[in-house]
Amino acid sequence: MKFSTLCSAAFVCLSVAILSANLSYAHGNMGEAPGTKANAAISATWRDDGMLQPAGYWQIPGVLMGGEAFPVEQGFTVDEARISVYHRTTHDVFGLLQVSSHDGSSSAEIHHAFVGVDLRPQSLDDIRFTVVAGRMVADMTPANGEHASDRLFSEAPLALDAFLGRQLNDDGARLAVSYGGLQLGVESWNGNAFPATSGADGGSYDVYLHYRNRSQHWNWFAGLWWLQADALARTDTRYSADGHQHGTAVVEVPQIWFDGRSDLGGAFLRVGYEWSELTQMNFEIQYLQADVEGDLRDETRTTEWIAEDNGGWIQASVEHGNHTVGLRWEKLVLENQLIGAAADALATLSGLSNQDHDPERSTLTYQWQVKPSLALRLEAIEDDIQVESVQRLAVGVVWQADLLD
Amino acid sequence: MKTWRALCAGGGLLCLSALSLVGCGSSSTSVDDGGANDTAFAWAIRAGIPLPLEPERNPMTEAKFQLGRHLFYDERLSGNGTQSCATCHHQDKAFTDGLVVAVGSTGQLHPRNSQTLTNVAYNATLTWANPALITLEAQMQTPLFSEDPIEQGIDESNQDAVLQRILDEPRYEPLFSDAFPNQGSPVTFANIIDAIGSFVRGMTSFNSAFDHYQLGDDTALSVSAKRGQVLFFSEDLECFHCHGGYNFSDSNVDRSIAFVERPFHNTGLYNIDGTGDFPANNQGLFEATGDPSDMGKFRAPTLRNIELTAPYMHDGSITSLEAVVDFYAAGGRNIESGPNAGDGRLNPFKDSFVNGFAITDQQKADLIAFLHSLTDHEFVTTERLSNPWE
Repeated sequence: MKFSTLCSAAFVCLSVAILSANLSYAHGNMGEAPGTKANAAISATWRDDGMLQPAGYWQIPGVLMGGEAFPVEQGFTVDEARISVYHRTTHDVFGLLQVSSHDGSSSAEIHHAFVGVDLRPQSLDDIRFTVVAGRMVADMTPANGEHASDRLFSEAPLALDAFLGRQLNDDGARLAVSYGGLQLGVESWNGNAFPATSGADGGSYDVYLHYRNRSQHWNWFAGLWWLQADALARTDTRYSADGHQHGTAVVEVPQIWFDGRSDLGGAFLRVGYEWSELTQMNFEIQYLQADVEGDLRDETRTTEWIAEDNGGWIQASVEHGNHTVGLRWEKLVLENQLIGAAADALATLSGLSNQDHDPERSTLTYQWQVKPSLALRLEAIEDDIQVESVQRLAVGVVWQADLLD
Repeated sequence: MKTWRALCAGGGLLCLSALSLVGCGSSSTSVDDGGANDTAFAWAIRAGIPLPLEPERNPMTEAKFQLGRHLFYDERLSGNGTQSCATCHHQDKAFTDGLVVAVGSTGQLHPRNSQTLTNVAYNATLTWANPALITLEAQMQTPLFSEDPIEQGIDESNQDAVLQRILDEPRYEPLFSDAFPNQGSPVTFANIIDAIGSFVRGMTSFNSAFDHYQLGDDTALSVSAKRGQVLFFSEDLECFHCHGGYNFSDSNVDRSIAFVERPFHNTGLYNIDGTGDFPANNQGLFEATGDPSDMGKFRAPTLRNIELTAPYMHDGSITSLEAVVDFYAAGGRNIESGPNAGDGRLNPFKDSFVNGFAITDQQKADLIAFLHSLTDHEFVTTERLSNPWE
């Protein structure tokens, strides 16, 4: 029996068993009230076609990929399944443990395991310091922490796949200072997550500034961030990482290593406008820039690689009652320069040779919130990520529930 | 009014955002090889294959290639006027001779099998087991001038006569002038070596069925050959570890390579008296280094045109590809009697990739079908590499 079939059965059983629980949407932000909470979420989607992936290896042309940036596949896939337990003491000490499985992976992993504390010095009214340490997602942009059950769209943003290996999730520490709607954060990471490597000459850190505000009809969430990631002998481990088995095909991954530094910058804006009690308009733009400089090598050859990449997405949606219609347009602009005797050979072998193609993708979605815990999602995707474009339709369900509140 | 403001705000944001993303240029990949691929020679190399090295002192030119072609096939370029380079390197046999071991101009047997000159420009080392021999020009000294064994047999006693024979051939005068202009007397052994080196360096072979398959012609390989390809590149058979890459050899160098590896391998062909020894006149890398662990190590030759280059191994001791596959499947060779008796499978210096494997008759046929797909029929028939004296 195929794994996808097993997942389907498990998903249906689990859904039926707990659909009647006390349900509401919830994810990483578990609130500031003391106590213990637990929630779970599943997103599952059937697609009539997958992303183009010659020889089983998926790559956005012009990008060295990694992390957990897997292509969507034809047929039924559990995009995400997770269960989280959160506890917060009366002394503002908190912790979160989350176990999850992503992107059709055959195994679950500890996705979050962190502890933190909120400090509010009496001498500094309205200022809060938050210290968090453990395994967690980087907080620099909210999109980094979102999965298929959190987003309006089942497929992860292209720019995150390209530049962050879908999601920067690593062992690290965060110090954040909040004042009103402003938050300044600094995060330091071990380097287990793409685009960094761990160990000597590896690791990453980021800085972000966020601003939130809410008025009578408007709510705003904007931010700027910057990330530096250092890598030594980085290679694409997507198809060899423990637990990730995608299909039965043997995937030939180019034996390429990268030594160097990635500087990423980003800006985002999320705006919500409450048109009426029933109707809400939402708008989002995310812009990412990635500058990469270092050496690319295989077993016998090396070349200098400089990249100046840009990407992002624009997204707009209208929510009316239980119905939401949304549109997302994404684009990447990837400018690679390779210098050295092996430049041509390694540009081809690594897939950095992009035929001057701008990867793009447009997605139209309709979501019906059948009940507070359950949504049905229809999507039509125009996928121009590869030079050859494909279209696909997707039908999915999103279930989220508070198991303990 | 509220509606109008919301629409304007949303529309404005969308427009600004779209402009910011659309206006960020377009994708590109620029490649700067620093002149590494500059060449004055029309290399016969397919897309995706890097150019071989050209010595700074002896860059490739068409004129030197053509002169070298004439010299390569000229028996006058030997001490007794009976042997040319082509005597041991026949085009129809992918520039091998079909003999167990080479025979010199005086009849002396060479201890080793004549190697193919297929893509010899890409060899990280030349001959079977000499780590110091890395240019064709340096290697050329051996067949021309070696005394033991004698190959073309040119020595101090006959070298002037050999040059005179070249000078006496009227076709050479314009060939030498074109190849080495502005030299008063270009007919020298140094120029002869440079010219033959240029001709041999130009013997590139990348037009096999396998190459057509690599370039996208799915029909170029038979179903059997495709199965054989999977076997060849499998960890069960391990073939590709020593015979990998575009030239099917791990002893490979080209212009793009920064870290040149010059590996040699003991395949378990001998293990005389269980000591790891190879026959005294043919001990591989050990002869150059004196390191006991280098006993029986030889360079892995290219498998391109392997169908045409029997017999196989450094001493020509295996007659067919089928027997070669059997040899590797057994993990070495057990010689039960005679002066070379010993179980090569247990040779202490044997390469760790030669472990033996199970293979069915069908799989063996598939593997050999794949090896046959590496035959470049144009290479062995093209007039460009043929004997100009005929």
